[in-house]
Order: sequence, then C-alpha cells, then structure tokens
Amino acid sequence: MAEITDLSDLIHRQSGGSSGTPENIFFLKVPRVAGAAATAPIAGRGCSLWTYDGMPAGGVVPTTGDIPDRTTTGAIPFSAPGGGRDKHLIGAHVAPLTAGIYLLLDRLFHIGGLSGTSTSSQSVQGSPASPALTRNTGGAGNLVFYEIYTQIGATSTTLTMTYTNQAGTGSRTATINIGATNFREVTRAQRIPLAAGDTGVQSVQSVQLTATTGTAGNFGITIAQPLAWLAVSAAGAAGWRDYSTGLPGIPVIDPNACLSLLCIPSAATAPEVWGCLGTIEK
Amino acid sequence: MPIADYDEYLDLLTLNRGADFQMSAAPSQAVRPVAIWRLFLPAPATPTTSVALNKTSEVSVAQVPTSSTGNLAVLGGRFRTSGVAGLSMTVVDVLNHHGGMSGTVTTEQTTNLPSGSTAALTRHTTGAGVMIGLLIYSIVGTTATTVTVRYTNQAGTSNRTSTATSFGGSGFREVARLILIPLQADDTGVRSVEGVTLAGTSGSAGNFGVIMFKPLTAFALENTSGAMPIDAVTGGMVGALQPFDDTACLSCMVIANTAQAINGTLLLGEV
Repeated sequence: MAEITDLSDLIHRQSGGSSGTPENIFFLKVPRVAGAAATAPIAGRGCSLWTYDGMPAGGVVPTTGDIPDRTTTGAIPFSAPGGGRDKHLIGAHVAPLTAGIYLLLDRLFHIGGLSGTSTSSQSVQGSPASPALTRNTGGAGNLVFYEIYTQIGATSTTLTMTYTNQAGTGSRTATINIGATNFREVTRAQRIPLAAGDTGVQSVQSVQLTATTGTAGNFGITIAQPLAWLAVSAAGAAGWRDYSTGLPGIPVIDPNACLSLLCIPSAATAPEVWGCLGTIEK
Repeated sequence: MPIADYDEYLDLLTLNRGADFQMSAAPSQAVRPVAIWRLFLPAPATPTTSVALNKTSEVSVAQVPTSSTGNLAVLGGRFRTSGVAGLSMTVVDVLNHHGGMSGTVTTEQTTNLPSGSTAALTRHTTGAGVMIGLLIYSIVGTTATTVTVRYTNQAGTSNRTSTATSFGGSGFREVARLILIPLQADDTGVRSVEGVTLAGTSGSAGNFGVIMFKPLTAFALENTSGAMPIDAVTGGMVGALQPFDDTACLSCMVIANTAQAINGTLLLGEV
C-alpha cells in the first residue's frame, strides 16, 4: 500500500494531481423502507440503515449467505481505484435528522432467513466457511452483529454464536441476548461481543437460540469491518472527521467494499441522513 | 492545474478570491435540507419554466471568478451564522431549476428538465452523481402524502421512477425546503426529469419545482456563532479542492440544528 507522503502530497492529489482521482461520494438515506415509513429505532441501541431508501437505494434482505460488494444494491457506490492505486478515505461528513453515532462500515458477509423460534443450530457460513470472506480475510477488527429483518418474538433468550477468530481458531463461542423489547424490532442491529482475547472474526459457523423468542420473524448475521465513526451531537448538526488530522489516520477502502451505515441514535426517531465521503487515490 | 503543494495552496488563499452570499432571513425549517438561495439577498425570482443555470444566475453566490484552466476548487470559506448551533452546509452546483407545480394535483405534472432547446445538461452531462430535489417556493399543504419522480438515469434509461418519499405536512412543506428524491434501485444519477406525481393532495397548492444539482463539497459549521473560518487543511471541510467547472452555479444546501440565517464567502482557487 502506498501511503500519503505528506500534506503537500495530499493537497496535490485532492486537486487532481498525480492521478489522485479525487471522488466526493455523497449519499442520502431517508427513513423509509421500500416506500413505507421505517420502523422507529431504539434510542441508544444499534440500528442498521441497510434497507433504508435513498441514494443508494435500500439493500435487499439476504436469504442465503452472501458476500456483498460495491455493486450490490444498497451499497454506497464509488469508483474502484485504477492503475494499481489504493482508495484512501480522507474525510467523512454526516448530517442526520437524529443525533447519535454513525458508523461507516464495509459489509463483508451477510445472511438472513434465520428464525426466532428455532432452538436448533442454524448454519451461517458453516465449516469450512462458505462463502468465505473475500475482504479483510484475516478477520482483524471485524465485528459481528445480528440484524432484525422481520420482528421476532417478545420473549428474551440467549443467542450463542460459534465462530473462527482472527487467529484462525475455530469453535469459539460468544453469547448475547435476543428477543423481547429493544432486541426484536425491525432494523435493530445488535453487536455480538467476542470471547475474551479475540479481536476479530474470520467466519461465523452457526448461531443457536437457547429458547424460542415466540415468533419466528426473520433475522440475520452480518460480518463487517468498521471504517469510520462519526459522532453527531444534535439533530441537524454535522458530524465530521478529517483523517489527515485525526484518528484513525487515513483508512484505505477496499476496491470492492460494500459501504453501508449503522447508527446508534440518541432518540427513537428514524434518521434521515445526508453525508459525504472524501476520497483520493494513491 | 492541480495544486503542487501546501505552499501553493497558501498562495491561492492569499489571492482571496471569494464569492459571497447573504440571506435575508432564517428559513422556517430546521434539521432537514434547505436551499438557502431561496432566501438570498436580493431574493431570486421564482421560476415559472425550466431554466438551465450558470454562475451568472441570481441563485449563485457572487462573484464566481473565471479560471484560465476552466476549473475552480473550493479552498475554504468564512461564514457567520445568526444563532448558536451546528449545521451542515453542502456546496452544490445547481444545474437547473423550475417552478409552478401544485401541491394539490395528483396526476403527473410534467417538467421537461433540462430546459430550453437542448436535451442535454450543460455540466455533468452524463448525469453521474446528479441529484433531484423538490424545492418549495410557496408553502404547500399540511396533509402528509408521498411523491414520485419520473426521470432518465445516468445511463440514459428513461421512465425510471423514484422511490416514494414524503411530501406535504410538517417538515415537508415549508418555503425553501429541499426534498431530496431517492432514485430507483441501482441508479447513481440523473440526466433529465420528466414528471412529478403526488400520491395524494397536500391540501394546498402552494408552488414547488424541480431542481437538478451536483453536490461538490461539505462544510461543518459546529456549535458556535460569529465568524467561522474553515480551510481545507485543518478540518471541518470534506471534499475540498476537487476541481469543478468555472461556469458552475454555486450555491448551498443547509441542514441545521436550529433554523438560522447564514452569511459568508466561499474561497475559490484556480486549479
């Protein structure tokens, strides 16, 4: 990977020099899903904007396991870098209707069609993993969350995830509650904490519920690589990061990344989100 | 020509080639996108037909300098808000505007955008990254409904239909409100707009029209008031320095925590 040399190199490429190919990627998410008002999120808890309408259009609920990429409906579109160059994220900006934390992530794998009533092991990628990750395959930093596509039941239970960690060690397990108020609503996305010592995920073999939630609904498992965290202090205010002057440095966007958004809203108001990603190539 | 290095960037700033704007009043809507040019001083006329725009338009900041290369870039800006609150300001190239639509008509209202004798956009002619907004000129009704737009996409495919989105009712009816239109799946831009259809009446005709625009760069004006200088290096600006056509009709779309008037200057440089 060719790193940005210095501030002059950055400025030169931002203005189009040395095949810097600056691309400002604007996006819009509106609080509607397939033309109907979106379910209100839960304040202080994760909400996936994958299915929200906008530019890009809402993503499709996955059925079987799939590796989405930048051409998948729902991904924030961008031009793949040319000439063997990398695409660098040099800044990000969001202005949402709802304050909170907005996470830009590369959606590496997703699956839907899992049941909130089954207490059997439900395969995710299986073992060996199929499909296996094609980006950030080492797993370092990858996070996993369950995502509710159709509301599940009102009974709280425990989800156990069996996975392979960043070191390639299989049969690791992690647990999280699922079902009941705040853990069952459509678009709800709940991160699954990994076992002690693990710092990422290469694959998820399966998930299993301890007991039924009472309603099958439809939920899925998503593996993602976080790229940018944006804090927004008030509705309508801008949250921004300049990666040339602040953490975490200047991330590289994989040429096939499936860029999408997840938020933790501070209010139970489905967010409309306007934003921009500033990129250059080197 | 691309900017060679940091020193040249500083040199360009020193030239102080600014384009100014001033608002006569705060918009009546916060937390959602507003086209602040509707409140520019002097007030732009409300279009009755579709009109292609450039930097001589009254909706543009003034004066946008010429460039020997044909390209400019936003180097930074200095702004003043009327209140203490954060806001997002996106610099846009307004390609076309149009007016005279009714908030009570439920049959398709045709637009014939882009306007005039040419069927092509004068800038961003492929339509890639071009967006659609519905701009409210006179307040429409209090009844919430939805709207769809029929358009030709960036690939030249006609009769594409946008996903239904909110129109009318609180937050979607106020003067200067810019209702952004979600495109049909997998479309990434727009070459022309053919028609607008309301699912139901909003209850009051008002006056609205279709805007085609290309967003260029975004400023974050944070929780402060008074003079705010923002440059492309020290933070607060995303997408700075990207070249654009020096005939662009530069203006601003704002999303603000509280409704407020903004005055300021976009600092431009030849690239």
